[in-house]
Amino acid sequence: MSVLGQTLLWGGFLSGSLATVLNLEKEDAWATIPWPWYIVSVVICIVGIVLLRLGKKSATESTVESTANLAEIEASLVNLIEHTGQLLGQMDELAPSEMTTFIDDVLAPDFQTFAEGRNAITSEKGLQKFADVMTHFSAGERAIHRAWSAAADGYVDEATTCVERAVAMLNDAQEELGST
Amino acid sequence: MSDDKVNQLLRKGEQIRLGPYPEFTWPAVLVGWFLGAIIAISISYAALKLGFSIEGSELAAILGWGILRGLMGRTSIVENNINQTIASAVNGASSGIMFSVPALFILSNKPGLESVADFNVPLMIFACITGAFIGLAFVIPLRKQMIDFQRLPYPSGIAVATILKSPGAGIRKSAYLFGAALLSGAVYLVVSGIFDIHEIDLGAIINRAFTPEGQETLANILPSRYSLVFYASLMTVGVGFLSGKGGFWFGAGGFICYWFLSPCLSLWGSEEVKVLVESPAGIRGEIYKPTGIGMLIGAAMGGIIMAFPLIRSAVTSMRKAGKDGRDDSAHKDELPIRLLGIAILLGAILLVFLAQQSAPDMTWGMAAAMALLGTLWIWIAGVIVAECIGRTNWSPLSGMTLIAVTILIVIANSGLDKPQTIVSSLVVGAAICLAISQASDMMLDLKSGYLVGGVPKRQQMAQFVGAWLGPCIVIGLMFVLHWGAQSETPKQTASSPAAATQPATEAETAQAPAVSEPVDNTPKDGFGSEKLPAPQADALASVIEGIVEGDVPTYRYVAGGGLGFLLAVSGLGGIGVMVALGFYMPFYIVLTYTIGCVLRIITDKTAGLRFSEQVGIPIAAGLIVGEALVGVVITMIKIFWPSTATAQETGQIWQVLQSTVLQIF
Repeated sequence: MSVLGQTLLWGGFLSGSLATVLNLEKEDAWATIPWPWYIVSVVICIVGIVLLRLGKKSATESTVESTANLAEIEASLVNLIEHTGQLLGQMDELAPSEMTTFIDDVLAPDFQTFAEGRNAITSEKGLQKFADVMTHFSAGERAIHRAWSAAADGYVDEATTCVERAVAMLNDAQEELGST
Repeated sequence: MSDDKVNQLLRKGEQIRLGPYPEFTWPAVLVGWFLGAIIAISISYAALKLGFSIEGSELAAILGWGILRGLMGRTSIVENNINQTIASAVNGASSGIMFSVPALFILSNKPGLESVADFNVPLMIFACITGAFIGLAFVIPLRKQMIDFQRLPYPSGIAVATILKSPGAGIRKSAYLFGAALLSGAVYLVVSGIFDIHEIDLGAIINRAFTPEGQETLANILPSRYSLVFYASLMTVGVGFLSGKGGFWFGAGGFICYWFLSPCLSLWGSEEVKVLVESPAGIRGEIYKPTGIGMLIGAAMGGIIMAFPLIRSAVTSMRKAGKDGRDDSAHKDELPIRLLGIAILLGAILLVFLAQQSAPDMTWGMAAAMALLGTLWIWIAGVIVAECIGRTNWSPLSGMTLIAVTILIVIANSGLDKPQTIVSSLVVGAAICLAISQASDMMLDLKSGYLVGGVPKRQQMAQFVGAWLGPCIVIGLMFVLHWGAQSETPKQTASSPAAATQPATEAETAQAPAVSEPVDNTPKDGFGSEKLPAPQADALASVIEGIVEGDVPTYRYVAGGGLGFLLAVSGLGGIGVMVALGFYMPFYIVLTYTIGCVLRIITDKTAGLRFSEQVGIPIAAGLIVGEALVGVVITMIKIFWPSTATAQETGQIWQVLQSTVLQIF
C-alpha cells in the first residue's frame, strides 16, 4: 500500500507540476494552466496521500519495530541518567577540562541516540506524551550544554548547578516516558 | 568546590572562576549594539551597492570573541552568545529595509509617482520597529516545536555555536574550525575575489571535452536546460553538510525542475517555452520561481495545519511542567506566551494606526484590513522562513515580501490613488519585511543558544533589545547616502528627502510627452542610479509597478500553492517547504548544497555519527565562517576601491594586487 501511495503521490505531483509550468502567460491569464489536467493530477495525489496514511496507520498498529525503537531510546535515557549522575558525583574531583571531555565522550552519543529515535514516542504513546518527554529531555540537554560552556570557561559552581538540573530534567523525562 | 581543590586545579594550570556565570550583562549589550551598528552599516551599504546582504551572526560572534575576551577580559561563552544575538538583531534591519524602502525613491523617478519619496520618515522607522517586534512575538513560541522537538539543523546556528564554543573545544576541534575557515576563505578569495568566478559550468566543460578538434560549434551532450552548473562556494557545501539527509528534499525540488520538468518542456512545451527552457535563469524567473512562491505559501498553510497539534502539545506541556511542582526551568526559561500574545495584539493595533497615517486618504477600515492581513501574513511568513532557514539556511525573504506587498496593494488600490497606494503598501510592507527578517534571525540565534546552553528567555529579550536599533541606523544611513549621492551632482540642491527626489510640477509632468526624445526614467543620482544601484529594491520597484497595473501571476501561485499544500499534508515530514524552496532557488546553489548533503550521508554511514559530530561539523562550520568573513572583506574592497574591482573583473591579478597595495599606502 505504501509503495502504491508513494507512486501515486509523486506521479500526481510531477504531473501537476508539469501542468503548472507548461505555458507562458496567455492573454487570459487564468487559461495559462490546463486546469482539468491539473485537477486530475491533484486527485491522484490525494489518493496517494490517503493510501500512504492508511499504510502508516497499519504499520503503527504492528508495533514490533516501533517498540524496538522505543526500547532503544529508553536504554539511552537510562544510560544518560546513570552517566550524568556519575558526572555529578565526580564534580569535586574532575578538572573543568575533564568535565568537557566527559560530556563530549560519554554523554553526547546517548543524547544523539535518543534524539534520533525520538519519533518512536509519538508512534507508541501519542503526541502529547512526546511533547511532555521532549520538554524535559531538551531542557536536560540544554543544561548539559550550559554545563559544558561553564566548565570550558572555568565556572565550576555554575557547571555543577547545571549538571544537577540536567539530572533532574532527565529523571523527569524518564518518568514521563514510563508513565502511560 | 573546596578551596584546596581550587588551589590544586589552579596549580595544574586550569582556569577556575567562582560565582555567577555572566550572561545578559551590560558589556554584552553595549558591545552587541556597537558591533551590530557597524555590521548593519557595512552590510546595508553592501546591499545597496551590490544587491545582496550577508548574515551577520558569524561576524558578530568572532568580533565579539575578540572584543569581549581579547580586549575586555570577559570570560563567558553565553555572554558572547547574547552579544551576537543583539548584534545580529541590529543587523537584521539591513536586509529587510534595503530590500524594501529604497524602492520608494526609485519609483519617485517615474512620471506621476514623484510624491512617493515624500513619505513620513519617523512613521516608517516606527512601522519597521513595530513589524520587527510582531515578527519576534510570533516566532518565539515556535522555538520549542522547531528546535526542541523537530530539532531542525539551522546550519548557521551550528556554525555560530561552534565559534562560540571554540575557546573550550580543545585544540583539535579549533584546528578543524580555523583550518577549514582558512581554506574556505582562501578559495573564495582566489576564485571569486581575484578570478571573479562564481559558478563552474560542468555542462559546458563536458560539452567542450566531447567537441571534436577543429569543430566550431560545441557538442551538445548536456544541453543547457539541465543546468549542470555548480556554485563556486565551499560555504554552500558546508551548509549542505550541516543539513545532512534532512536537506535531501531541497535538492529534490531543484532536480524536479531542471532534470524532469525542463526536459519535458523542451519536448511538449510551446515554441516560446522551448526557447526559454534553454536559459535556466530565464525559465526560473518566469515560471519556476513564481510556482515556488505559490508552493511555499501552500506548504506553509499545510504545515501550520499539520503542526498545530504539536504546537498545542508543546504549550500544554510547558504549562504542565510549570504546575506539577517539579524543577520548572523548562517552563520558566521561556518568555510567557501570554505576554507575547499581548505584544502581537498591541503591535497589530499600532500597525492599524501607522497604516492610517501613511496616506492622507487612507480610511480606518482600509488601514485595519491592511494591518490585520499584514499581521496574519507575518505569522504565516514567519513559519515559512523559520522552517526554510532551519532546514536549509536559506530564507525566501524576497518572495514573502513580494506576496505581502501584493496583498497590501490589492487592498489599498481599491480606494487610494497610485502614489498613496504605493507609499501605504510599502510602509506596512517594510514592517512585514522586518518581521520576517527578525523571525529568521531569532530562530538561528536560539539554535546557537541551545547548543551553548543559553537561557532562551534571556536571548529572546536580547533580540528585542537589539531589534529597535537597526531600523533607526539603517534608515538614517539610507538618507545620508541618498543625499550624499545627490549633493555630488552639481545641479542638485537637495535639502530634504522630498526636495532630494526632485518632485516635478504638474506643468513639468504635462510637458514631458511633448519632448520628442524617449523619456529616460533611470535616476541620475540617488537610489537606482549607477552610484547607488540598490538592485534588490530596484527589482521590487519594477514588480510593484507591475502589481499596481494588475500584472501578477496569481494563477501560478494558486496552482503551486495547491501542490505545496498536498506535499505538506502528505505526512512525509516538512517536505512541502523543502521541495518548494528547491523550485524557488537557483539550481547552481541547489547542486552545490546537495554535494554537502551527500558528503554528510556518506560520512555518517562510513565513518560514523561521532566522526561527523567531532570532525565534520567543525570543518563545515569553518567553511561557512571563512567564506562569510572573506566575503565581507571583498565587498568592502569593491566598495572603497572600485578600481580594484574593475581589475578583478578582467582577471588581471597583478594589477589587482598592485592597485590594492598602492591605494592602501
